[in-house]
Amino acid sequence: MKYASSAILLLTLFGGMAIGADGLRETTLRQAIRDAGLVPVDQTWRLPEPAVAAAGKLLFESKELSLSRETSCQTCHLDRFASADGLPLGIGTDATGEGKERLAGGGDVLPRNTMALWGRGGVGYEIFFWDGRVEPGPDGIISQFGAAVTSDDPLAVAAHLPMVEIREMVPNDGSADVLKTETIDSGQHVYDEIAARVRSDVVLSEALTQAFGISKSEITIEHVTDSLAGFIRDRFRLQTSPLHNFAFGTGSLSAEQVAGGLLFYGRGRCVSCHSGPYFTDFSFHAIPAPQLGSGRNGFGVDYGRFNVTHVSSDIYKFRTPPLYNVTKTAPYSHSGALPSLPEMIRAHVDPLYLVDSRSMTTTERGQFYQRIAQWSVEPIFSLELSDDDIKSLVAFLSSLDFPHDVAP
Amino acid sequence: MRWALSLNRGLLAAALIGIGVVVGQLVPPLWKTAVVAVAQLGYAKVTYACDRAMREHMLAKFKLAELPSEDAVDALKSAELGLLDCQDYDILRKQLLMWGLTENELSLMMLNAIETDAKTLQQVVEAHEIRF
Repeated sequence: MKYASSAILLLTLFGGMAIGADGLRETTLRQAIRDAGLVPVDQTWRLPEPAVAAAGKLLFESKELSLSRETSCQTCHLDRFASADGLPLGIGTDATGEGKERLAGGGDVLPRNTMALWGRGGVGYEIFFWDGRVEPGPDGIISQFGAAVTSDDPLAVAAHLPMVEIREMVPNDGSADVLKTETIDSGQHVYDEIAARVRSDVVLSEALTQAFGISKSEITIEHVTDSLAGFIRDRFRLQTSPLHNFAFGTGSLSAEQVAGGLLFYGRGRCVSCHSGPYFTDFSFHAIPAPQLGSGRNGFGVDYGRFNVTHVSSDIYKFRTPPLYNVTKTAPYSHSGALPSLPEMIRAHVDPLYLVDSRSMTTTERGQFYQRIAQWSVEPIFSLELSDDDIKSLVAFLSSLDFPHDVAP
Repeated sequence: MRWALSLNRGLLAAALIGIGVVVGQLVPPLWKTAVVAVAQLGYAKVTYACDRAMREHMLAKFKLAELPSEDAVDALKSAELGLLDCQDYDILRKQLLMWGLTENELSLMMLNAIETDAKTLQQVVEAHEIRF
């Protein structure tokens, strides 16, 4: 009885407060969302010809694109994991199955977490991969292909790369040692092989000839990558989320989502990086999340953006990831070290909370200190977020969910 | 007999008035004590949140004045949104006044909020000393 009366009094006190504040809060949040660059989803679409997307779908699902015929794009970009793979680090060749099944059998572990594909290649979405190794430059697309780049579409250029990545779609068994020279010519060997396979595959070649109005003998790797880009743009286009309905329609958010939204755009400073139509500034930032696996540079080291630019201030920086369907794409961070969204948010502002420094090696601690040094100039450095704040932020992020397992 | 009955009625009325006076004296403090007990934690939270929001807003303004930049403007905008925490504080404060608390009791609650963790004289000093 004592507790019941206390609860009634509390509800009266705080319930009244919430009712009194809602109008201003929702109006303020709606304005902040628009000011940060959110637009209706159809303004982000760059939809391809349906025949191109249809051919791309077949190619996306085909293991012919892997030199050892072990993996397809879909192997690591699955509908059931909202276009990611559900694993901390991608597992490429020498593995079977999907998701956790790939952990059995010692498959080739990749250095980074598989990113979801939502919004890729949409209007203004032109920088790809965790380290931005494909991006537009003043004189054309900057990529590993240098001046030999064969497309003016950054997404199509990006689609070239997994096919020549050892351990991703090329087995690390000596059969493709030529690729270890990391020259454009060595990669061309693989592209020639894949293009030849596609030309000889009845279904794939038929789809491409219809899509591009060419004969089978004219099919090149560029038709393959253009089709893949078309499919990705079509299948993974942004769809209207509850947040879009709130910002541009008559949709409402729960009180906890509104509280989380005000934190996101306000005191939490999340918007300083997660802005624009895709909730990314397409820039590179250092978040000292724990490092899992060998890292791109080996021995648990991943220099991130520095590997592309060789600019020392870029060490440990990674591209801000978009946030659509983020509640469904665990685990998180560039190395997938954090299994839950609350932990990922905590790592942004309070990384010491997540590590047991005594269990780390001196090397790991040294790397961690350097990552913290880079983080110290970020806008979100050492912000105070309570567990309740983080819960509200997660609730807000859930308003960016939309159906992930059916094509739009 | 009639005299005795009138006397009894008079005594009863006096007793009721007496009880009323006693209850009138006792209930308001008890009521206020109960409201303070129930609302103290929430009041402490919104007081802290508003104080933090005001400090962060002040720092963001200073930073913008020192080094004007787009980032500094964005930081100030975020800090302005953070000031909504002070609306929670204001509304709860008004509600507690409606529930019968006075400025004195609210001051006491604020002191309790500020000194929640004060276990030593030094901590009390730190809460009260003027800093510049």
